[in-house]
Amino acid sequence: MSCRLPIQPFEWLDRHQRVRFTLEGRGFEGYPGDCVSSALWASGQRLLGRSFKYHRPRGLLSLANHDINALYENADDTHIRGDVTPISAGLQLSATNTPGGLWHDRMRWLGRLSPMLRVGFYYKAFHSPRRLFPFWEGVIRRAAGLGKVNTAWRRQVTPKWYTHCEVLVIGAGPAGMQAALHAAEGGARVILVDENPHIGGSLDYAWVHDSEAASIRVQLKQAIKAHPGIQVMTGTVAGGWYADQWIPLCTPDGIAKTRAGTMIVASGLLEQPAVFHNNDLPGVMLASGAQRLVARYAVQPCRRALLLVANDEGYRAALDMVAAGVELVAVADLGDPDARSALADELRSEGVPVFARHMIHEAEGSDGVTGAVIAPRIADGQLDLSASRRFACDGILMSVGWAPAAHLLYQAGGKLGYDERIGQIVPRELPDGVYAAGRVNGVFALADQLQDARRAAADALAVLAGHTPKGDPLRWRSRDCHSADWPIAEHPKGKNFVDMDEDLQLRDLLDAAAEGFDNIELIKRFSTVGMGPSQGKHANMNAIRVLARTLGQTIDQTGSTTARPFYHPQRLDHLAGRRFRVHQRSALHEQHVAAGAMFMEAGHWQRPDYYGSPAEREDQIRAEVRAVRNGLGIIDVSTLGKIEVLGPDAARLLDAVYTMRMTNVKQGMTRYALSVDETGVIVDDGIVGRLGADRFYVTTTTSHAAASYRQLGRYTAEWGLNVRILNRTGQLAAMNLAGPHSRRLLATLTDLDLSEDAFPYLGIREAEVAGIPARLMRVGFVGELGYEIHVPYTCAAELWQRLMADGDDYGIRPFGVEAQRRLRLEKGHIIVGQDSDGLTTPYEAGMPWSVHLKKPFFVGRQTLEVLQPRTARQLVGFALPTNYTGPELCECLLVIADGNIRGRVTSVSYSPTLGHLIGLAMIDKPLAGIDQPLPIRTTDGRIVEARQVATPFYDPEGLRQRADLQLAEAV
Amino acid sequence: MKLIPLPDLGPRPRSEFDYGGELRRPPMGADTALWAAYVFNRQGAPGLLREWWYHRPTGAWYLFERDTLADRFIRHIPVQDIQYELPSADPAV
Amino acid sequence: MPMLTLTEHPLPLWLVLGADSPACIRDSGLPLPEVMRTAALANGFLARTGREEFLFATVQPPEPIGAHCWRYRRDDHVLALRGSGWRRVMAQVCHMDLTSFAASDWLFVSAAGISVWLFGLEDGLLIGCDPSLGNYLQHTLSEIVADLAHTTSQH
Repeated sequence: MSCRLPIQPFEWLDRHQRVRFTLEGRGFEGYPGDCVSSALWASGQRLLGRSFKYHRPRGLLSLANHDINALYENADDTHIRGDVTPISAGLQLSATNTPGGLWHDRMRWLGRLSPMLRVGFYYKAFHSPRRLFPFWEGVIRRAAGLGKVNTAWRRQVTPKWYTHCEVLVIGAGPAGMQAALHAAEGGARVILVDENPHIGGSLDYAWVHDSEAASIRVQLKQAIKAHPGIQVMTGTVAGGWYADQWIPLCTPDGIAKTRAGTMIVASGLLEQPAVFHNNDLPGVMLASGAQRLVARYAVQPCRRALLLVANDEGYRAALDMVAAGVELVAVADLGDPDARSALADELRSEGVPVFARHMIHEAEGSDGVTGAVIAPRIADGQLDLSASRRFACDGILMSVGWAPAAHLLYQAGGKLGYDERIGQIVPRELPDGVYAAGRVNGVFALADQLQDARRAAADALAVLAGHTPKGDPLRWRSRDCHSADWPIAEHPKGKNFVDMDEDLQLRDLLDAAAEGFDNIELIKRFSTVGMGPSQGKHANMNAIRVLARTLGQTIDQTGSTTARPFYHPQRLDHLAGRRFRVHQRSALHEQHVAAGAMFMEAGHWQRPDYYGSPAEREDQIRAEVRAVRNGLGIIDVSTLGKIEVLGPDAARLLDAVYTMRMTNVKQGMTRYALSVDETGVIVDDGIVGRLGADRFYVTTTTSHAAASYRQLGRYTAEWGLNVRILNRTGQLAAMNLAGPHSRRLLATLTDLDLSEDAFPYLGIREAEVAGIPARLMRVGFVGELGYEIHVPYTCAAELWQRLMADGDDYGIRPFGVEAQRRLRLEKGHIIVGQDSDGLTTPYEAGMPWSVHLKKPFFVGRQTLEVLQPRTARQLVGFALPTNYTGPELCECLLVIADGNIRGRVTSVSYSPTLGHLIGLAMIDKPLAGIDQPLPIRTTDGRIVEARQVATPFYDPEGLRQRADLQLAEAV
Repeated sequence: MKLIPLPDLGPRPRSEFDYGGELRRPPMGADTALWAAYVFNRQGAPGLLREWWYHRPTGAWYLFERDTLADRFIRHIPVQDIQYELPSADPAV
Repeated sequence: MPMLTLTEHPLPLWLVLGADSPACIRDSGLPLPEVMRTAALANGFLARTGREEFLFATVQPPEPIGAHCWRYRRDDHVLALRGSGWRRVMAQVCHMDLTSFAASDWLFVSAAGISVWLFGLEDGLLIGCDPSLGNYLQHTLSEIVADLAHTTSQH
C-alpha cells in the first residue's frame, strides 16, 4: 500500500524514473532521491530494523541519521544507514543483527528475558563458573552484535586533500546560508558545508508553508549559487574540530583537510524523544522526522497521528501533517498551549482536541503503534492514570525538546551551559574565531536566525581583519521555552527507552545511579548510554535530565560527556587516505639490485644485507668477510650522516659537543668522535675530519644523522657561535674500499699520493678519483687497509662501476651490512644502540680514553666526572671454542651467575676470520676479567660457558692498516 | 593541527617541526645534587614555558614562549636574548 | 587545456653560504634578492634561502670570495609539475595554500612527509628534494598525477 504523497514543493525526488532494490529478497521500489528508509516507508513497510539487544521491531525515528533503527548491510558493505543512504538500482540489502532475517529474527523473543538482562548484566552474570565465561561471551556477542565486515575487501585508495578558507560555515540551513552569504559579501573566502545532499536545512522541511520563509529561501539560495566566493559542499560532514581551526570535511569522495581562518557553527539541533512505555514502536517518531519524510520524500508518515508537544515547533509540525492528509486524533501538550503562539488556536479551529499538561503514559501495539494512552501530569514524572484517555492511531509524533549539535563547539574549547528559560544547552563562551548562529545558539524565530547569522559573520570578518568583534550572541536568543524539562514517564513494565541504539530503558539509568555510578562519566560507561553508533545524539539530553534529577543537581552541575570526533562514523579507507611511506635510496641502489643484493631496512633506507640468494646466506656472508680480509671488498656506506662544520668557531663547537678534544685535530687528519648526552649516556659516534682551520667534515651513524645535524644547529644557536653547518647526508654518496689490495687499486685511479707518509692512517684528503671530485678518509672501520670515498650523489654509480670493473683483477666483492657487522665485531667496535643502551657511559663501554675530562666543558662532562668512579658495569669480549656445537647464541641472552642476572649479551656472531663464535656482553664489573668464565643462559634454559677474552679479537696491534706494505716488504 | 607562528615565514603546522624541549641553561660548576636535579628533573606544572622548536623544511631553530595550559603560543624569543658564553675552550690547538 | 605532466628536471645546483656571501654575490654583479625570494639569471635563477645563504640554479655560480664564503655542489632531485590541475596534485601532498603561488615564488615546505623546496613556473612549479628521497617523491607524485588523469572533476 503506497503512502506516497503528491509532489511536495521542495522534495528531493526525481519522479521521472523508478529505482528497484531488494531487502532480504523482497522487492521494493522508489524514486531517485529516496533514501532506503523513505522508500521502504513509502511502500508501507513499517518494520525497518531490529534493536541491538532485545531485537525489538523498529521504524523511523529521526530520519536524520541521529538513530540507527534502519541499519543494513550487503555483500560489499556494512552499517549502511537507511536514513541517509540513497537507493540505487540493484541494491540488495539485509538488516543488520537479525539472525533469521528482519521478519523472522530468531532473537526477537529476547525481550522477554529483559528482567535478567539488566544494565551491566554482563559484568555480573555468567562469570561463575569462570571457565564457562568465554562460552557465554561468544553467545552474548553473537546476539548483540552489529554488522559483519567483509575481510576480503577490494583495496581502494581514497586520497585526502588539503583545502583552505577564511570562513567555514557548518550547516546550510537558514542561519548557515545567511552567514555564508554575509561573510562572502564581506570579501571572505567561504566554504559552506551541509551533510545533506541539498542545502536548505530546516528551512525546507520545518517552514514549508510559511510565507516569510518563501522569499528568504529563494533569495538565499540564488545568492549563494551566484557568489563566486562561496564554495558549497553538500553530502559533507564536518568531522571534528582540531587545533587552530583544522577541520576534516568528510565528503563522499574522501576527506578534505581544511584549514579555516574562522568557523561558524550553524549546525542546528537534534530533536529529542519522549520517554514512555513502548516509545520505540514503529510509528513513534520525532516530529521533525515526520516533517522531513513529508517535505523531502513526499511520504505520509501515518494515517492517524497523536502528537506530544512542548513547543511551537510541534504545532507547526502538526499543521504540516494536516496538510499532508494525516488525521490528527489529538495533541497532548506537556505544558500550556495558550503559552504557545497562535498555532495552537489554528489547530483547535480545525477541530483537533488539544490537551494541556498531558503526557503519554504508553503506546500500544506489538509490531507497530495501534494506539496511545495519555494522562494528565500531576507531579513531575507522575501521571493521573485515573483520568487517562486512549486514542487509536498508527503514528505518535514527538516534539518535546532539543539538544544542540554543538560537538564542534565543545571540541574547540567552547563553554556551554543550560539556559533554564529556553530549556536548552547553549553556548556561553566561545574561543576567538569560533561562532555559533541560529538554533544551535538558541535562536528560533526565522528572522532572528538571519540576524544572528549576520552577527556571527560580521564577527568573523572583524577577526580576519584584525579588529575586535563586537557582536552580541545573546541578542537574538529566544525568550520562550522550546524543550520540556521532564518528557519522561515511568512505567511498571519498563520498555520506556532513553537510548534506542543501546536498548537502554529508564530503569537501567536509575539502577546504574543507584549502584553508585552516579556521575555522568561513570553512568555513561556502566550503562553504555550514548555509546552506540549514534553516540547519544537522541539520548544524551534525557540521560542528563534523569541523572540530574536523581542526584538533585542542576543540568550544569551534572555536566555532559566529551563529544569526540568524528561526528558521524567514517569509512576506514577515507580515514586512511593515501599512504605516504617514505623510503630513502642510495645512489648505488640499482648497482646493488644488479649485483643480487638482499635488502634490509635501516630506518627509511634500504641497505644490502648481503649479496646472493637466501639459501646461501651464511656462505655468502662468510665469503664477503674473507674477501675483505684477504683481498678486496667494497661496501656502500652512503647512509652515514655527513655534516660540514664551517667557520671560526667550528673547532670550539665540536670540542663542546664531543667527549674528546677536537681543537687539536690537525689539518688533514681525522679523529674518532663520541658524543654523550647530559646524563653521560652514549648518544652517537662517528668521525671528525679537519679540512682547514675553520672547515671540518663530520660523519655520524645512519640512525642518528638527522638528530646530530639538528643538535649541532641548536648548540650553535644556543652558544652564539660563528659556525655554519650543512647537512650533506643525502647529497654525498660514500663507499668504503677495504682490503689489503685497496691502496693498489686506488692508486690506478687517482693522482693523490697514497704513500704512508703522504696519506697516513686516519688521514683525510680531497682529490679526484676516476675524474670525480672526492673526499677520502682512512678510518678504522673493519680493521683492514681501506679508504672511505665520498662523492656527489650523481657521480656515485660511475665510480662504483669503475671500482668494480678495475677491481676485478683483485677479486673485488661487494659486501653488505651483515658482513660489515661481523668484521667490525672482530675488531671489538661497538654499535651504538646495540652494544650500548639507555644507560651506557663511555666508561662502561670500555672507552675511557675517549673522555677528556680536563676540557673546561663538553656536553655531559660534569655528569661523567661524577659517574667515572661509580662505573658498575663493563662491556667485555667473549669467545667460544672452535669446536663449539652447543645451542645457538644470540643477542640479549642473559648472563647468569649464582642464580642472578649479572649482564647480557649485546653482540654475538661466528667469526669467519677466527673460526669460532665471538661476542660482546655488558656485565657487572666484578665478573669481568680476561680468561674469566662468562655463563650465558640460552633460550632453552641451558647455561653455556663462554670465556672472556681481550678485544680486539683480531689484529689487536692494528698491523693490517699497513698490510700491503708488509707483504711487499716480505717479498 | 596546531599552527606555530614563525616570525619570518608565517604560521606553519606542527608536523613540520621537531620539539626541542624546554629552554634551560646548565648550572655550570654546581654541586652534584643541583647538577643531578638539572639533568633529571623538568618543570611539569602548567604555565609559561620557553621551548625550542626545530623547523625541518628550513633546518632552523626557533624559541617560543608557550602557555602550556591553554596551549597557546605567546611570543617568539630571538635566540640572541638567551645565548650564553661557553666556558673557554682548551687553548692548546 | 595543457596536460598535466610530471617530469625530471635535472638542474645544476650550487649552495653559496657564509657571512661574506652577500658581498660576494653583489661584487659578482649578480642580483641580491630578499630572503625567501628569487632572481632570474642569464641561464637559470638564484634563490636567497637565508640571510647568508643562496641556492644557485645555473651552470656558473660565483667564485667564493672572502674567508667566510663557501660554495658546495648540490645534487637535489628536481621535478617539474606542469599543466592545468597542478594545484590539485599539490593539494594531496602539501598543506600550504598555493592559490597565489606564482612564477618565481620560492617556498620551503613539507610535502608528502618530506622537506622540499618549491620554485614557481608560469604553468606549474619545480619541486626539489634530497637526492636520497628523489625516487620516493617522484613515485608518489606520479601516482597522484596518474590518478587525477583518470578521475573526473573531484570538487
